[in-house]
Amino acid sequence: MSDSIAPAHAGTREAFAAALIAFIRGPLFARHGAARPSMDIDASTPLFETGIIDSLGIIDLLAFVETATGRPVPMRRVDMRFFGTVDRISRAFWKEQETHQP
Amino acid sequence: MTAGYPRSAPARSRDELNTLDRIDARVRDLAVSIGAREMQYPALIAREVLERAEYPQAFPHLLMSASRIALVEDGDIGQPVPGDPVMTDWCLSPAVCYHTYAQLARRVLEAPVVITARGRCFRAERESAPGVRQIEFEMREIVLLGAPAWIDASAEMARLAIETVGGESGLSGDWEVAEDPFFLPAAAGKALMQRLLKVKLEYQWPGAGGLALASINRHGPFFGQRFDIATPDGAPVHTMCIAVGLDRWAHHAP
Repeated sequence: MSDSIAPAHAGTREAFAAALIAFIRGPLFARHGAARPSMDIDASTPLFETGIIDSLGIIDLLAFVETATGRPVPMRRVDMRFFGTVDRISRAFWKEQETHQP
Repeated sequence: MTAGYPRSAPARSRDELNTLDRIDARVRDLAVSIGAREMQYPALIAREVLERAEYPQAFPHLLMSASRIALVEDGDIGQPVPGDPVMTDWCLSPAVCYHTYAQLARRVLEAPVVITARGRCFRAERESAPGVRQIEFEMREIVLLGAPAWIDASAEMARLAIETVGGESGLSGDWEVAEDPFFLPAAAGKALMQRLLKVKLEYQWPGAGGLALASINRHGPFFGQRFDIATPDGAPVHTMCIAVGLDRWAHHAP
């Protein structure tokens, strides 16, 4: 993963969500041309049904979550219940005690 | 099963074949009960069909070519070149359902279509074991083509039907989310997406460490787009295939 899509280190879940949205709008869209830069994304926007995240983008999305939380994402949690929206990702994976500080 | 010859798949006695036929007949009956038309497809499949389905990109490590070892030029037989087979336009079918998409290509389906076929399939597995992982094996597939809502309803029905056959055969299993053995790491994202969207469910038998006896594979509009198969409103048809590994069922059935 290039430096340009390294995740921000969020101190709160809301900050994590904001950083993730910025990551999707910016580096991930730039990296994968199939994304839709004009699309408005918020914490409740479905990421997969809309095609915002495709089979290329999911690799970077997982890398973002793993780097930001400092923990690998177990395969059993690769599930729409935890990945369907930015809000779900934040609730599933961000934990205050696991947040990395630079 | 009669092990040892050939190594690609076990040779079968009449009794063993009867077991396989009995299981196949049960699955075939299920298919017919939901309106399936039966087809028989060849073991060879045009490479162009698989390329259209993007199979060589996703599974180059599994695809087997029906190659020749020498070209005929000007009436002379060329010299075989060991280790350098001449590719032809034909491959050995890695699955049954690709034949169905080719069969229905460039069509508008006025109503949902269900096709079932039993066929020999070939995959270049690195290791093989009878009844578990074979180079050559038989699959019964049920291929469904229609609108998304109908596919969704059919998937649930298929789950229950496979469970019924499993129970009747003494092979009760569990459904697990799975992904295809894509050629990694290039297709790692595809595998993750399959898992995330639960497009592939495997009916796994705990008696053999979670061996997959059957799978339900939802493809969305992918094959409809690739093969130009549409619903009456012009949208690409959605597809799903239910694959039953007959060798595995026959090998492990009590």
